[in-house]
Amino acid sequence: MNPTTQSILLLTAYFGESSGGNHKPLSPTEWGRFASWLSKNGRNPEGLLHDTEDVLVGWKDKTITTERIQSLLGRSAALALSVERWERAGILVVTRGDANYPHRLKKRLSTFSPPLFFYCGNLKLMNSNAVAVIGSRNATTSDMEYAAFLGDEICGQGYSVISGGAKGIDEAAMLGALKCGGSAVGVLSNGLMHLVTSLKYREYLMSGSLLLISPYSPEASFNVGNAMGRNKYVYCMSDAAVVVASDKDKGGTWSGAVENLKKDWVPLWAKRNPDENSGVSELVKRGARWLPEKDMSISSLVMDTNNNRAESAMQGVQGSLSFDYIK
Amino acid sequence: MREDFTMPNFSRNDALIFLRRSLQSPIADFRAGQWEAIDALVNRTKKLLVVERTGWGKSSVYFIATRMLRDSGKGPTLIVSPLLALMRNQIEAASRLGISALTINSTNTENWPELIRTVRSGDVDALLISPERLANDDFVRDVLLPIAESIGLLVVDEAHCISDWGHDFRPDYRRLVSILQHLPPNVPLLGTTATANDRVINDIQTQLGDIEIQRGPLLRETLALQTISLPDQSARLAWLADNLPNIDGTGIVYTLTKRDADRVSDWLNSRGIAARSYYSDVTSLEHPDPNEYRKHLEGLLLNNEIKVLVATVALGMGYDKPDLGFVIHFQAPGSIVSYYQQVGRAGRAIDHAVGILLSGKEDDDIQEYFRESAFPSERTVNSLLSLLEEHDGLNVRDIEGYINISKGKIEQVLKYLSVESPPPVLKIGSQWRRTPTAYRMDHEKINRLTRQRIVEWEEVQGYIQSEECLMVYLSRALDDAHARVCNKCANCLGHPVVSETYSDKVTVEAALFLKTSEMPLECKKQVAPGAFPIYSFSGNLPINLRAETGRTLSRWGDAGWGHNVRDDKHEDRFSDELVMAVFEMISKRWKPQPAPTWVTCVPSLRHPELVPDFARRVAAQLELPFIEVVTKLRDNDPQKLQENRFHQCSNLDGVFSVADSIPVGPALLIDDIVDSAWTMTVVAALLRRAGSGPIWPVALATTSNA
Repeated sequence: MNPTTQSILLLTAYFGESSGGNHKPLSPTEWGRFASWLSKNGRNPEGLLHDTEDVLVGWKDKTITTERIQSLLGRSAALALSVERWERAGILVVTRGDANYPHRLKKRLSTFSPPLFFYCGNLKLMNSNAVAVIGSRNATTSDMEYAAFLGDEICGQGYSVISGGAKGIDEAAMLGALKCGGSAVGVLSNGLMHLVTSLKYREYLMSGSLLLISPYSPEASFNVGNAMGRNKYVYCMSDAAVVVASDKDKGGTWSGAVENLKKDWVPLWAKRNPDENSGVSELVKRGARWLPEKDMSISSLVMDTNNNRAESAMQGVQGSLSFDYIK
Repeated sequence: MREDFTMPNFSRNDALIFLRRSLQSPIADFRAGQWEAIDALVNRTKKLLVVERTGWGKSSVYFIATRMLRDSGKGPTLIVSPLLALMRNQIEAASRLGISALTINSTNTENWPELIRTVRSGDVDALLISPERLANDDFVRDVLLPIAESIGLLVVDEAHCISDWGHDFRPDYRRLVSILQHLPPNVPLLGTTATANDRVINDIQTQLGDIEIQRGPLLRETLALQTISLPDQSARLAWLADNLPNIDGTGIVYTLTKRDADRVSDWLNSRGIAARSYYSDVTSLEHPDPNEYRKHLEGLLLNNEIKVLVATVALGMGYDKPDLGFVIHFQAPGSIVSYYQQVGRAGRAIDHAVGILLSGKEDDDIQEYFRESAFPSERTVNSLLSLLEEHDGLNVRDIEGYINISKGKIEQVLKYLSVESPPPVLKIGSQWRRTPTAYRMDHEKINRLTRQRIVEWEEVQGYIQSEECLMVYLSRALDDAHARVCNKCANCLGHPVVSETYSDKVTVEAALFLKTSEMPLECKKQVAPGAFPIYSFSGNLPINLRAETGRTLSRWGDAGWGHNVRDDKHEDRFSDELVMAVFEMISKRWKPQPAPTWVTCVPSLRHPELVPDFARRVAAQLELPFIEVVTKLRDNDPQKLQENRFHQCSNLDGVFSVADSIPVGPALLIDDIVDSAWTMTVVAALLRRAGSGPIWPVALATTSNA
């Protein structure tokens, strides 16, 4: 692990359950602000490990105090213990400056994109053409079967499945793709450590057809905020998204889908549901479209309205270039 | 910029004040290299490996550095050391610097919550943990991680252990290396060792990258060396008994095995020399906890309350007794580096000490066994990995049910695999899980290390036969540039440092001692669940079916009777000498009560006459009837191939039957070799169930590796 990555981890990551010590690690936005200042002043995070005060001369910020930075950087022993353990499970780190960091995510979220991802598996899948499959942990059998069929269909047409990696719809779609020889990406909000050593995913991680990633500590336990936060990364790393089923006006699936419609990240499709009052019906009223029931062409799901979306994505790039000094 | 964020910049003078305060001497000055090491750590945040002899004062270096770093607002120092506790003199020196040091280890688990609170409150300046704690994921998560949010200095004691070229590379240190490799450059690191040659130092440098080396002379000028070749154990025991009383002071006798440590210690005590044995899991009636007992034993020697501690390598690293008068090896260690490590403890702060290497004919076998058992077999590794591949995760008990490998070996292999890089297994909670990483055993590396062990062993043979200055021989093996002729060793003097003679009478007594050191034979009490559907044994065997505590005459192949048992077994007849030995053991020393009224034996289909013939002759000597009442119904797999409890039990179910009518009196139950003692347990239970009196089991030898 290079010193730049170490420095970013020290400033932004949680080590262990209770981590943070006296000071909270920097949020993605805070890191964005600090990194952008470093870059503007021709300094880099690696320098913080050698001569902290020199690097910090002239830095002033209300929430990111010098003291907070010092205290976070003092967590080196905790970093060594944690990273060593994570690496033993096959979990590595990719930062915003790495070439493999998801391009689409960075374009769409700009300074809100996470400073780093923990990952295990085939890193090349990070930027593969992918369709997101969205749905709940507690899904009906028929929705699960549909998700598996969708996974199969998506990979059959040359795309990866991307999902939140949770049980239920996520797992059904990913295994649907993996079992037919396709590839999948799971963006987890918790439990990366357990999932990478699980029977169901282990062989696919080893054969290179699966990538599991998480912006949160590999040993983080479940947390609603993290789960919601993770949803936007699923959308932003995909080319199109399909909602298999959703509650109406509540739950992570619903709010993630609504956020995607509002931010207009990717085309949103829904599995047809005759119930006028279903969540997906409401999503269609707000701009999602029904998934064709026959002769589904994945590339047409993706192509749709891509032009104007590309333009808005470019604006994001303008904003993000200023702090991406690390290449 | 606030003041506490500026880099500390301490002068030699500041440090000298601390040194004098800690040593309580206004004129004390640094030994060569001490200040340079402190300076590198506190002013330049360096990673540093210090190779200096025991007693050079490495603890002064890290305690003064700790004081300075704490004064500049840094976090506490983490010391990783195989010692259970800091030596008392070190703690005292530290406390004079106002450093509060504490240790969190397996001996004080009940205090952990409080200790963790103390550390987190910032009141602790130095925290001592053992390397195996660092390899325990639960400990790291629950105890160390919260503390590791601010560590100002990391110290690794006995750093030569992180080299797999080293004489005692340990798996726990391998985990440590991999943690150190991930340590960002903003934390200073101090590794210390008193024994490292060029190859070890180079290896450490390769593994840790930018570590600086500081190296001082290792030669110990007060130490007089000597080697004595006495192939027989009885001769060596006699030599010890005759000559130990004439050696000044107190000291250590090193043996290669726990069994020998016990035996030598028993022998010395029987000759009026106050001795105790010491090894990793040593206990006594008053001290059932090995950690506590080991500390107690260390204290006995430290305060000269006993003449000698008879120890395995478990007494080693960091044991710092300034006035240790002698270190004698009953058997030769596997390498010169580890010999130096052990003998170098003597004569630290006294004018004269002796280091004597005895060697015997069993050393070669023991070293070969150590080499052979150092790495698990490919077959074992593969069967374990394929099992884990079929599951999310399994605990050790689950694994025992699936595969016929002993619990000890399962744990050893998992440990070995878990420190491979990258490791194919990972422990989460109590479960072992297969990581998503392809794995192949590195045979080339295993062969290279095994060859290296052989070369090291040959170097020890060279030392034993050497006619040049023994200190020069050791220094050269350690690549010590300061080597020079000592004028103290037996070779320099041209005559022995300690007399090589011993009396014939004592030798005969020692031989007798070896041949009368039988061991209690305890049968099993609790059966494996589901292993005895035919006999319907389950849970704890009822007391009225259990065997009494019997006797085992010897250890297979060992000095004493062990050789005879092995040789006779291959001839398919046990000699009259062994008959007499068992007869005397039973009738002269053991005298079981209630006394047996008849003799029977464990039958075998492979050697139908061997044991009955022997038992019949023993019975004749005892003037008791020999009655064959146990029949073997079928030829099961050899019991010695059953490696864990479940397989050892289920391999015996339904194998034996007992005659309908048998004598009701107490009986001797004779077998030749016991290992897990499950056969004895089962046959005794069947005899009891058929109506016999108490069963006294007797075996000629045990192969158990307790």
